[in-house]
Amino acid sequence: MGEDGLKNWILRWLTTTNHKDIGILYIVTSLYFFFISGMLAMIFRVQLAAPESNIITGSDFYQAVTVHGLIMLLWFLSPFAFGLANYIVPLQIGARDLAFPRLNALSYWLYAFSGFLLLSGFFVDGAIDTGWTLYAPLSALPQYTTTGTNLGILAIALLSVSVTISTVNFLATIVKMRAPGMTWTRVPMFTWTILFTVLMMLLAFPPLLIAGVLLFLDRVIGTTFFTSLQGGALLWDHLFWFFGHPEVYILLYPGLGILADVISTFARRPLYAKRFVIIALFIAVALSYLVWIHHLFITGIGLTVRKIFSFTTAIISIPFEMTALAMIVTLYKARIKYTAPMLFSLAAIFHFIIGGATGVYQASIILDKAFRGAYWVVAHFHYIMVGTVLFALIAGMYYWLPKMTGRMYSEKLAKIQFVLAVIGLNVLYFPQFIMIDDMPRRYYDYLHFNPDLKTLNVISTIGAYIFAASLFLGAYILYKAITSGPRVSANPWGAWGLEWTIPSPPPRHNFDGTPVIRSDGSVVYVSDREISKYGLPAIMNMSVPGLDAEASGSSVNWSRETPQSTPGKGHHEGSHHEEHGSISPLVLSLGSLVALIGAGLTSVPLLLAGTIIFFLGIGKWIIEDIRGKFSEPEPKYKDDWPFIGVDKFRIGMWTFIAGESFLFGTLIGVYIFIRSRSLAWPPGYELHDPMIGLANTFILFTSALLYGLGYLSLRRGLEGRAAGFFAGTIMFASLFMAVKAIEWGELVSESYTLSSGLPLQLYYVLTGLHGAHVVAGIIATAYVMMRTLMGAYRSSKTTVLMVGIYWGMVEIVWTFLFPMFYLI
Amino acid sequence: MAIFPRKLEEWYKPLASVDKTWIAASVVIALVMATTTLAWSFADPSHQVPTETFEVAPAEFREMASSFADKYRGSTIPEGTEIYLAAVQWAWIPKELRLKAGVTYKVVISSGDVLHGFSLIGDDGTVYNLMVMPGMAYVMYIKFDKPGVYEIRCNEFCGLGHQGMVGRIIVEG
Repeated sequence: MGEDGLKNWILRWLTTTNHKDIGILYIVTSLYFFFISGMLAMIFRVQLAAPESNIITGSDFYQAVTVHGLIMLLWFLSPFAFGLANYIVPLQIGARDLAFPRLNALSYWLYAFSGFLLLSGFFVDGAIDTGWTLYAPLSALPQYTTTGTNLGILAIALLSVSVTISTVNFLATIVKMRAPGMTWTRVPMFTWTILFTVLMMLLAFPPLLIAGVLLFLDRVIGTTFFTSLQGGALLWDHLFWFFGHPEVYILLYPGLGILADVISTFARRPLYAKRFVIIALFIAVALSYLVWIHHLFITGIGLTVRKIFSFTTAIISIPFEMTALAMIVTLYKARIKYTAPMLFSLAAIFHFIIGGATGVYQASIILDKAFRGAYWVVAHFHYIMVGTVLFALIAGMYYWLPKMTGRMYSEKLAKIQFVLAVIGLNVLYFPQFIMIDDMPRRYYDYLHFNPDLKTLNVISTIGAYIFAASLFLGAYILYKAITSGPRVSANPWGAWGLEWTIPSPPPRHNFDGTPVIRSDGSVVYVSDREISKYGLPAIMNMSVPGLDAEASGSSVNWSRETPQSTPGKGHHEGSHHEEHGSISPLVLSLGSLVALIGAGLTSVPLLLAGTIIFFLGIGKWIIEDIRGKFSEPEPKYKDDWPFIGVDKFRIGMWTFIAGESFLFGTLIGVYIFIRSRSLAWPPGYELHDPMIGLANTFILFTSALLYGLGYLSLRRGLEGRAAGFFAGTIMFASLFMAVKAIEWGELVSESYTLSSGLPLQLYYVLTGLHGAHVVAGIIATAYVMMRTLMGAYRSSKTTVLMVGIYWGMVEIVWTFLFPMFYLI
Repeated sequence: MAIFPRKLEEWYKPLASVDKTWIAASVVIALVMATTTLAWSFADPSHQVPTETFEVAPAEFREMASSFADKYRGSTIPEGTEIYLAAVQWAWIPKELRLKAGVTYKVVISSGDVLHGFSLIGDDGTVYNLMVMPGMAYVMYIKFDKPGVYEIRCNEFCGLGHQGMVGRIIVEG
């Protein structure tokens, strides 16, 4: 590789928008975070085995456990699974890429930089040290926590943004980008579980974002959301666990999908009762929002509430029992091939049963009380997170490694790794079950009350080192396989699924032609010309005889250097975005990182510099849009109810709106929670003038009305008039912001600031967030106006409609805020 | 080429011995888990989860507990006295409670600053476990039959001194 080659290579990875590249970036980055977090665990396990040695101080210990927990949950397990998903999901459903490739790059860079933001805490006076649950009010008090806690909280908020963007992308992809004939029942289990995962992410991460932002305001600006008695510890617990419990399933689901696919492949039969497993998992998605109170059983919450949530918690185990049983029945009397992925999957099911069953105990109010704060809980969730999820992810890694690299790993070494991993894991965590109520959590030195625990802790630490050894062996296996593993064919496992019909590694554009799944479950690759000649229904019904020979798989040239397009069967005409690169996601994310470090360390220059870089990124993004670099025509695929006639932009937009609703919904929930617990609350009409509020409401509604008129004019082809209406929208929306600014200014001049009690803090935060949305709307409308004048919307008016939907959301939010703050 | 399985002709092959082993193992584990859940539920019949709570300001409660501690320092708390126990960073106020064996005491627990945990294992193995939220006072009824020394520990991370936050209950015969 020459100097120029190296430069191109670096540039490629920094600017890529290809889903396979980004998948690999996700995997590599998450493994890097995994290494750091695992090393932290190695250090504090030594401290726990030999507390008298004091190899680390108490402060270091708390930083280590907090960062370990946060990284493993938020920056390793999920992102690793989404690395696999990025690579595999489009291949499984027959898509060329994710629905929004550039947004995908943006999620990746935001994710990577949010991780660095968290770790940057180690370079100030200490990383976040509040425990991974960040229980308020301790976490809201800067004097008892490190400066790194600011950075950690902002990292969590930034990650939430990244996750929401991924959510939009994956939902739109799985719903809209499936190949013709890839019906919902045919969609592989891994893709199904990713769909469920993003559904849960969509609703779980906005509360986390809000919780993080409010906590940060408490720490830095001095608001009192989590330090007052009206909000306080209970508010944090509700917000955190409303996120926290679905998060557990967010981590688990991709693992379950991998298990289902791997087991089905190596048991050489379809997953037993797949349809019912999907239904069960969907029910669990819905139930996952109704169990969070079980984390609050001993906070003195009402007994009836406890009983209800004890019941829902016990109920939610049933779908997972069904899933585990379906996998076991799939194995029943099967001719199992004991490859490394299969062994890891079997061990994962075994650990899932242990970890799951010990979790059901917590559903019982009494047992939960007994176990809470004890190592029993630690053992329980590590059996799930490591024993099940990590094992499943390792299985997935080995399973898809030949597909991703075109090379096979060493089966013998992988089996040695498997034996080490199972022994290590069980030696590590099983002793922790035995420490039931003797060994309290979050102690770095337990000798002062029970020296007998040392034996069990030493055993546990030995297990930890065996497990770490297995992971290092795994890293070596990966390295050997990637550099010098034997080459493999397209389908080394004899597995089912679209991803196994294309070469290993797949070409940049994934598929030669459009994959069409026919009624007998076979796939045929057809060109656009053949589709228009025969029509999709005829191809799917097998009534086009000539296609069979080409569909056998043998006639296609599966060499590594597959040409970009074979004549007649080339990929979409006019579609070449797999060569696209964009630096703007990187710039935008870098700006966010710098700005947030500035915010966390309360350094204004850094904050300003970051904001400038951020807006440079936005500007670059818009310029790329104007040049039409990313206008990928959506393939005209078969639609399924309820998505008939809804394009990917609409799906993406509505998903985004759902996330936004949860964002504002959470804040409104915070308002209701705090207000209902306050003895005195000044009515809104005493603090704010309802007449001004009403006038402002009309101003905002007029701006949206004008936008609607602009859209209608544009549909009639009157571009000049449309641009005029858009200008009106911008004017009225700016007027709304001006009135808002005057109102704020008056309040501040009467010294009603963020430190004058919760009613005003809530007012500032909620109207501030709404105002930020109005400003974003103004920017988007300005963009639309400019593009209208440039004549960009003569054919497709999707962008205009998207911004219109966004304005609708902004209006609806205001219709809630107006009565909340001005009338009652 | 078919990319979806359609036939299930392999379904009725005889079970390999290795499969039998692990199916048997999982059944045994499931049974053990189910019985132990029930067993533990019966082993702890006390249902000591407080339902009686009231609101109190942390600073105010800290005062109440301090004056209570001053009043009964070094002496046994008589029957019928309401005990105030405050969790603060990083100690319990009072540090030490002297109780009589066989007497049921009403204990009011709250926090003087941040979130703490209250964890106590009784002489019959009963686990008392609470999240002590600032602003909320919890009423518990505690009775010891066997004289001895029992430790109260904080169970929620409350800052650097968390693990040193140990209180004592001395039960006198």
